[in-house]
Amino acid sequence: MHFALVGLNHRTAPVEVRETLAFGPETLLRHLEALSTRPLLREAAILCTCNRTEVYAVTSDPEQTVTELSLFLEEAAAGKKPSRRLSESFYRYRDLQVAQHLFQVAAGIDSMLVGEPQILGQVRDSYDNALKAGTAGAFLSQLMRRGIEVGKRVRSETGIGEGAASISYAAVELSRKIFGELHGKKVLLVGAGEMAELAAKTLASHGARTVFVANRTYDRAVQLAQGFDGVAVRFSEIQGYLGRADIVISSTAAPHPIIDRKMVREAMHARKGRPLFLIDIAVPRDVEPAVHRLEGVYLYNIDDLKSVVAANIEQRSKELGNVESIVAEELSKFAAWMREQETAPVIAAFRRRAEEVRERELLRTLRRLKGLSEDEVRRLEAMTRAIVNKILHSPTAGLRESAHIGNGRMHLDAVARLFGIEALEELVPPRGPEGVSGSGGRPGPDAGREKGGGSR
Amino acid sequence: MNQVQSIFLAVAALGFLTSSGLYAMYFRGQKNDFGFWATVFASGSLVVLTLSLVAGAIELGQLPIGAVSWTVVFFLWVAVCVYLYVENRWRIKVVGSFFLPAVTAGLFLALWLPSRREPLAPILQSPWVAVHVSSMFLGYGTFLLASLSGILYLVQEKEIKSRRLTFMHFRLPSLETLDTLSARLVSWGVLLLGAGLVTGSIWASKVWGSPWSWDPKQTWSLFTWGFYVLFLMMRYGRGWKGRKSAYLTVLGFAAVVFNVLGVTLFMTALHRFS
Repeated sequence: MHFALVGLNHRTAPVEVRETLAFGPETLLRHLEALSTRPLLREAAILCTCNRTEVYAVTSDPEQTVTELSLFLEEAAAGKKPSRRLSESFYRYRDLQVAQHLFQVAAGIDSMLVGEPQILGQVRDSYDNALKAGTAGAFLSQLMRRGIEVGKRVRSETGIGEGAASISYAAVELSRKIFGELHGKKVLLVGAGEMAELAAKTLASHGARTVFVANRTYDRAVQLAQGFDGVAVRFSEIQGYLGRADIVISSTAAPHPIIDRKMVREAMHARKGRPLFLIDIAVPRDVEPAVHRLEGVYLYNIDDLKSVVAANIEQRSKELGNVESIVAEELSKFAAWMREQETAPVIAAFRRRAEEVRERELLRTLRRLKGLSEDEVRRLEAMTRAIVNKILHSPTAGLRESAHIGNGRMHLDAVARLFGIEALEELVPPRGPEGVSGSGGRPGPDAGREKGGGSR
Repeated sequence: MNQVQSIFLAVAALGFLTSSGLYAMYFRGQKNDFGFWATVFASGSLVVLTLSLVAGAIELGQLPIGAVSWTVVFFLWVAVCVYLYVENRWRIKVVGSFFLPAVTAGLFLALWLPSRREPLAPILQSPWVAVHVSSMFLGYGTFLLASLSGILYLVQEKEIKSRRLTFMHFRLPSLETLDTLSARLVSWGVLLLGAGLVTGSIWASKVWGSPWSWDPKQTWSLFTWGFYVLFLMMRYGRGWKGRKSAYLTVLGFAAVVFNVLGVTLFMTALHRFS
């Protein structure tokens, strides 16, 4: 049994290529069903996010399957745009490489934004979809469950997902550290700008309630307020709203500060000790820096937020080593499991063969020995069984053990030859050449990775 | 303190030490497993500490507050009860990372403090003593936690003001949580200390013949209580929140400490523990 994977991600393909393979939920299920009809594929799952599309498969022939999956993906995209570049963007993995890749994806270190939290849920969804489509069996389930487990471990045991990695999330996290829950907190948006709007939207999606929108031109404020389901405010009324809003995001094109110390001091008087968080994303700055020295007032400008984000990202990258070691640990557990899956059919086959011999010989002997009592027959039967078990005991144990060492395959071959099991190739097909093919493959960690079940 | 009590006490102290370690690891990595076991160990140690107190109470025939060490142990017991309640209610284990080490240090100190049991003065043999001392200590325990919450507020506030966020910023709860927590605790503390003062007066009127005698201990207790009442008035009436409020909770607890230790040690008072 082997694993195969073909896919592309944000590193191997630009968005105009990725979007040709962005499947909606229904398309995805249809594709899974189509995959399940292919004779080579035993199990399959599709992981599809805005940054990646990957097909995971369980197969008896990984080489053939990788080719087949590439063709499948090209066909899937064909309707949208015939692209020669598509297959150049694919990475192709086999066996343990598949597990390593999935583990890295689930851990969030293959994401565009390292440590982002959504990917784990997306991996879970792809497994659920495969279950729903009936394309997930024992092997794929083991792979997916281990992958999800890696994602969970990484998030609870390392700080890879800690600290906001974007300006708007940094604003949300800071707000949370000041106000606790954001539910019912009011946001005042002064001026419009892409980043300010994004920050306000992010705050709103985390529970912040009313959005007041002020703008130089009132009509524009009204227009913006509609987008936020908020209230338009005249520019001259800002002073009053400083007392009512908890979070102020300012990004006007004004050449001079529009919120000064005096305004904020008066507003703080009305706030009765409730803190005020000012986010000044404008350049030149909208808020007088001296405001920050007032009690209960927290002013962050664009550079402050950027340095918070930079520090967080640095902190995350420090955790990469810990994440890699969890991935490596889980991968070696998974490798052991895979090798056990290899030895299991051989053990079963050669035990079956011994059992056949035993039964045949026992029958032959019993036919010749007439007049044995029932008890004597039972004793003979028990004796032959004991002989077989005792002889097979150490080769069985040896084989089980060989699953955990490098040259296990050699042992398998030897046992097969010694016991005359000829169909070993059928039981355990040989591995294809290992290594990354396709132009889009990731360099680095793949090269020095541990080999799968042993050498050929 | 007899042998059984000392053994229970030592076991409890070791349990709290383990719990402190777990709380520290929880603080470092914010892993829920550590947090869970930290609370389990703290609760288990509290049970053992209770056994130690019960053994002491059986021997003395009343609340074991005769010797200094027992007084400290009883206070710590009350404080841990208050803490575990707050942790469960507010879901903030982070405070425990600071609180449990303090409790552990206190317990080891108690093991070392003189524990000679002196014959109980007849005036201490009244159920009013138990109620009075318990509610005073509950009040002190809540004030201790309030000031701890206040200190953590100041640390977090400094982090956010500095705009250079460190580890502490990410681990500590929000300003709002810490601020509200310490104010709530002060409200409870004022009620408990008030109850302690009233029951103390009832008792005093029985043994001294007058409910109030301007004894230094009484005066300081009333002063402390008045301070906290004023604090609540300023906070809810005039919006003294945030940093001001945090500083006041710390100052208030300093008054409590002086009341418990200073007055007992430096002033001659009618009101003595032993």
